[in-house]
Amino acid sequence: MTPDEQKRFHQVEEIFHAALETITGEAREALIRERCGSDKGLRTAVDRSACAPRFPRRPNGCRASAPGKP
Amino acid sequence: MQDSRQGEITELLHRWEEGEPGVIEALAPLVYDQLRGIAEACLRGERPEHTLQPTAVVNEVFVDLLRMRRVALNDRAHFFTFAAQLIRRILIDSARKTKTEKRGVGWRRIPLDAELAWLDGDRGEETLDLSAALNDLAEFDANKTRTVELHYFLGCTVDETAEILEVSRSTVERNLRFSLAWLGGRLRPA
Repeated sequence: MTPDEQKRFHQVEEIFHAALETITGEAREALIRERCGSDKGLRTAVDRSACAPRFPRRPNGCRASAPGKP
Repeated sequence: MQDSRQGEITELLHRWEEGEPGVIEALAPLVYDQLRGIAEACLRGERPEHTLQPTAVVNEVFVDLLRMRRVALNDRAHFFTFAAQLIRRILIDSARKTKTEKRGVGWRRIPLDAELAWLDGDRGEETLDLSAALNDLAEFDANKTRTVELHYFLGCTVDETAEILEVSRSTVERNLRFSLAWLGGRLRPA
């Protein structure tokens, strides 16, 4: 595990959680685009996590409620 | 679990770490019921023909603990997260056995929760892939893997997971959200 890989992991996590807070699909896309900038590797990593199968979404494409049992 | 019992478990773990013989035997009745509940949760939803029973899984955990003899487990929380890893390994071994035998009954998968249903499949290989992905996740953040193990594999609620890991409920929820997505990204074909 290199420091760069560790940094990338935390970048993806930060963007992931920020994206969950967006209201619309457009806002989410804009946020991800802004945060990733020209870093294509980061964008790919974010997209992979955000597009996980069975990842519950609201009708507008955003994440729904918290996972798991109460 | 009562505070006195929690303290007793922690004390026994410290004595075990110091190499005192017979500690696991004393520990067993204090943790057996909870471990059995965990094993039952792990087996829930599996094919009725599967060969492993909760009691057998728990017994294997204790056999492993006896073999290890001295392991630094600081407290009850550490013990149960460690037990979670042992149970996961036992299930993986079972999956490997099924894979080797190529046919017959066995495990479809480890996860207990519908939220991991996208990992569903009839092949033991997926269990192995998930295990590898969880190990990869632990390389980045061991707490996230522990969170997934406790919640999805051991059937702990969000509140129980938070208590065991001594973090807030919201931290558990955030870690579960991201871990699930990260694992999905890791396991899904590119």
